[in-house]
Amino acid sequence: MGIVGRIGLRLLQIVPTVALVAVLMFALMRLLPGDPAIQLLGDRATDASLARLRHEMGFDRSVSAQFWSYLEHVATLRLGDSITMHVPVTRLILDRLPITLMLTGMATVLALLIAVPLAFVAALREGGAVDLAIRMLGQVGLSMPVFYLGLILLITLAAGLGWFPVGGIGGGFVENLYYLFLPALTLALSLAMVLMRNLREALIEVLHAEFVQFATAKGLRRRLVLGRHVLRNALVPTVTLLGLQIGSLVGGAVITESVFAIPGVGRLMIDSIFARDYAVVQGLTIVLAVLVSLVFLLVDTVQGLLDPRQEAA
Amino acid sequence: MSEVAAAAPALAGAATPGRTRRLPRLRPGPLLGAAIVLLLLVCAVAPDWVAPYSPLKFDYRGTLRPPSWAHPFGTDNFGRDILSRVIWATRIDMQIAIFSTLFPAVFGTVAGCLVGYFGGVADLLFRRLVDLVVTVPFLVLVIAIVAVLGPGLVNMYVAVSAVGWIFYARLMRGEILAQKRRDYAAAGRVMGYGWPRIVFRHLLPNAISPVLVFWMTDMALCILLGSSLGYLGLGAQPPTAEWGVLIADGKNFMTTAWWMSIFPGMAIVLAGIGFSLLGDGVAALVRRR
Amino acid sequence: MTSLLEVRDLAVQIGPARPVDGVSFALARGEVLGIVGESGSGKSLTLRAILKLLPGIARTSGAALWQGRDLLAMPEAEIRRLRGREIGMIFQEPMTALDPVLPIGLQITESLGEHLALHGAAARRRAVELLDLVGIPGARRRLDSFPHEFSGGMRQRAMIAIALAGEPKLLLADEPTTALDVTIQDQILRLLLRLRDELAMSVILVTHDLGIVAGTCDRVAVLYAGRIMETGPTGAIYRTPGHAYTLGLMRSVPHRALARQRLQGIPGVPPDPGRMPPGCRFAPRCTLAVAACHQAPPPLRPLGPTHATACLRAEAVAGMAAVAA
Repeated sequence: MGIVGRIGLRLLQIVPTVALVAVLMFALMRLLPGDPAIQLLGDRATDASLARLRHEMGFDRSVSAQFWSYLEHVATLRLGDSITMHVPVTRLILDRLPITLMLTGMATVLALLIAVPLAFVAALREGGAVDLAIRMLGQVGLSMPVFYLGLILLITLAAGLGWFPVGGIGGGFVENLYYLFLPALTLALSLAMVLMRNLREALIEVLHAEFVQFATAKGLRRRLVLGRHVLRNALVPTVTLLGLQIGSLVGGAVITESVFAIPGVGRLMIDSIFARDYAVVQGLTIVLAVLVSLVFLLVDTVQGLLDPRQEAA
Repeated sequence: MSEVAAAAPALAGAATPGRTRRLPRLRPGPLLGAAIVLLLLVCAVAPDWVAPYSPLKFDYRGTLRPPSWAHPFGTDNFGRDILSRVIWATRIDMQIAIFSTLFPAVFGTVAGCLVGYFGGVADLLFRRLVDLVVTVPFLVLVIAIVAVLGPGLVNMYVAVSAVGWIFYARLMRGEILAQKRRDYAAAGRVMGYGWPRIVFRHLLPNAISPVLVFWMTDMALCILLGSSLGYLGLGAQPPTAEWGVLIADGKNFMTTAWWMSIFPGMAIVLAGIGFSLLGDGVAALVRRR
Repeated sequence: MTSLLEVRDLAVQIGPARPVDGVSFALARGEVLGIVGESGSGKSLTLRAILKLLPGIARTSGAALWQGRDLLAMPEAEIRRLRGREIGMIFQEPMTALDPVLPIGLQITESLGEHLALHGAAARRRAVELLDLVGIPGARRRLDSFPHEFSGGMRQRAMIAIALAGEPKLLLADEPTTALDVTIQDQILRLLLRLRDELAMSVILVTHDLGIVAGTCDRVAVLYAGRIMETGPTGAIYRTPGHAYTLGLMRSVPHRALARQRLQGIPGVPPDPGRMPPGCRFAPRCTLAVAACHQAPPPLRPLGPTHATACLRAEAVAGMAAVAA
């Protein structure tokens, strides 16, 4: 099967998973105790206004009728209107998604830029003082919650030294690179600690592999041995891990956007929760599930390019 | 290279002559982890003994004081002693570590045993469930559930438990599948033992180690998660002293009173390090078996 | 005749252990030398020590003179240029010695670039020639194949092609046939002999299989527990083994013409490299050992012009071999 066929197949496999997420969200939002209309309008709302809202939200119909129309909506990507903002959820999400994608994208790049050199230095000096220091740094980093790390960076680099804005976003792509740098660095540091730990182990294992000794015996320069043979092989498990970390990365983005007041989908999620805007929460969860699935697909494809043995499997 | 490897045990043997059965070496990492966790437990059990002040005592003449001998972590905007509040918050955060993981660990282990042993439709459904949980970011799923139930500690436990057990079950299922292929499981069946005896008396004890190790790591993760939700206002609610909530309290005084947020955060980092070092120790102990 | 490579009193120290201890041998141009020993005898370490491939914890002493220059004293940059260019090496298990994620062609052309400054299309043409040379059919198509897409024998041929890329004068072969089926073993050995003739290359063949040595090597060095027990021309050693250990090895092979099987039949196990016996290292397992064997390590002494042994009971051994024949 060609690479296009394989990607197509994987794309099809995303459908049932996302459908399952959609069903779960429906169950969660509709079947749990409590009347969303009362929760939304408060105890003192009049019966008439409650009835109107229920009708608007479609809660006056039977659960099965609601379910089918909901599934239809999800399938056609019409995720309904925001209850509080009266804007289509899809619009709301699409408006904010680019910022979040940019944030997570920058974070991933930064994380690799931090993790790969540190892991290399640690692995090459395995057991030495530098290795120990880097491992301790990783241990501390892994134990540091994203929001705390963000606050520290905010206090020192933005509020203290004034190198970066304390929050918000800029007017265009280039300006956003600057505005999003600190939040991206926050996310990146968290991700980098996980990657570094894993990559260090992988590098140490590969450094002891026989093919590295063979490459040395061929008379290749050390740089070529490390850069081509060692790194390439060690990246295979790291890319897998990077894929598995996408969930944490999205979760971290939700928190980081809150800390730095960035109007992305993560901030939208938290705001919608406090506003009890279930339509948005539901729609966002589904959209994020689709995104994560796409990242899994991307990781699989990169895996296939990095490691030819995967194609056979 | 096999010869270098072959020489290595010989070296280890030469280094410790005469000792036939080596005791588990006390490594500094796990020992430090145990000490940290013990300290946190003491703070959680008897905060009134450890804390120098009442965490609730207002002092309007001494607000936002920087760290000093009298108040090592400074005071907050109500003049409360931050060290005392951090110590009292330990109680809540330890509670989070335990309550967020207890149900998932127990239920997940049993569920994983059963799906792993019996397979069939239940296993099929379980695997779909895993796909689903992997696809939706854990924090997003927990936040979505908390959104429906309403913010608060108890609802957070419900949300984390509702999702968390799946990770334990997945781990356990894999272990049981591996153990099932071994001879002794077949031997149990041949001897006519019932499935509860085979699963819980024979398979479970052999498969439990990775779950125990994961439990330790999970406690650290849940402290991070619980404090994150506390910070976002979705977990513990003010005025409850919880590390994440304390950090959120200090957020507005970030530029004038950094100590309000920084010290509670250090407690989180310390707890995270403690539990993961202890987890490393447990992992090493389990591997020795 | 000057030696191409002369190893003098080579020792490898790992912690308190000395898995290679005072190994000396010489190799002439165009010669095939077999180094025979059980696993753990230090034969692979010896090969790796010559190219300075051992990890940092292993300390090497002695000398390895390559056309008069000591490899062991060379700075890393200099020996690096020598590796692959003057001295090539192939490993036992091509599956683990070839980089699994890079195509074979690239693994050849990177050496060509490094040593011969051949790049691009020229390098690929040369790579095809090399694959042809080692007998890989459809060489041009195989250039972009990955190691896991080759059979075991073809993988070993590919590894030889890679090692030949720098046109070395000496090929170090570390158990090149151990991982292969018997019929494939023969093919690979014949290939090595053919390459030796065609390229005027010397070969050091490390093996635990005395049978392989008989059909392949001009001279043999028998290694046991890090020391040379006996060295000499293959024919002489087969006719009149001069060491009790050599005799033991030969006895574990039923007939030399059919000798293609693992060693067996010597009672006991080799000594722990951390606790070597004070005398002859084979003495604890030796049925011919006398009191003197246990006291001091016997030095190599000549039995013929190019035949030497470190056995005090060489004469008794010769007698036993004669009876057996």
